[in-house]
Amino acid sequence: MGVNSETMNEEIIEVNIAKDFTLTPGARYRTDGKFSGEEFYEDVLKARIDEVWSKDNSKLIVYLDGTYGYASSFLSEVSIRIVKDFIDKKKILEKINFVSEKDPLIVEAIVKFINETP
Amino acid sequence: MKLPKVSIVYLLLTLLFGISIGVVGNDLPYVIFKRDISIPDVINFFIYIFGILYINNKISNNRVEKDILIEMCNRLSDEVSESKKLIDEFVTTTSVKAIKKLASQIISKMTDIRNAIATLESSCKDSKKIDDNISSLISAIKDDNFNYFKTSTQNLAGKKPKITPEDYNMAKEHAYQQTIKASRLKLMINNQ
Repeated sequence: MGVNSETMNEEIIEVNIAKDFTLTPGARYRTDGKFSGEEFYEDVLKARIDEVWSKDNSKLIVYLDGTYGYASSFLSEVSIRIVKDFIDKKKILEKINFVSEKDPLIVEAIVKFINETP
Repeated sequence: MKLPKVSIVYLLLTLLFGISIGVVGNDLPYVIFKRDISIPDVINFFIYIFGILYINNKISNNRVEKDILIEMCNRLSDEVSESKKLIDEFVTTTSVKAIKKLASQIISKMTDIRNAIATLESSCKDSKKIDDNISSLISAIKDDNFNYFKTSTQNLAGKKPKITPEDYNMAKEHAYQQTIKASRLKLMINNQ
């Protein structure tokens, strides 16, 4: 197998929104209803980011496929909360890989949300 | 089947016309082809024939490629128009059940639009039809699409889905910009 040592030493944590959270992501805040961006960040994502943040060779992969689609408020809230807590945008984009094979432009949208966050 | 009756005069006139053409034609010099053909002439002949076939094939492939890309631009415009119709229907509907259904249809349609843009962009890259102008126009479409997605879906997934009048007007403008730019892209691809 052509796996190099760097890949072998790399710790990868995965989050699949459709499997680990919901098929129907909701709006921005918990007060807006179930499965909000705030709920996803606080209950699922934050702990995983904490896990990879301080380790050199670790990454978080967030799979976006499999849901019925995302409202911009969900993605915007998740992005805002990540930047608010972890601050370093460059490191955020290095540490967290958002992946979507079925909707590749949504990944670009998330990167824009992260970069737009003051 | 009954044949039409032809007057004997017309038959005689046709016969006379034929004889006169034969007489005149007989006085014209014959066309004689040279029997000795040189090898360079034969080579030239085939080069011309294959050259024409090659150029014809290339032009036709190029046309097909352009038509495919133009069709993708049309698909993008159609998806944007459909999403706009859904948004219009959403803002005029009063039934809560219908509003929730339309909200999820709009969110799903946004994915279709993004996919139309992604397919168009990758096809332009694959067919090498992408120059700086086309590339920057596709980037501008992506920016409009991002703003369209942002404004039209930011209040759609909550308990009470809504599109504010301000968001509606902005979404309308972003939809229009995407359609206009898709049309400009078609022209640019066609003129390549």
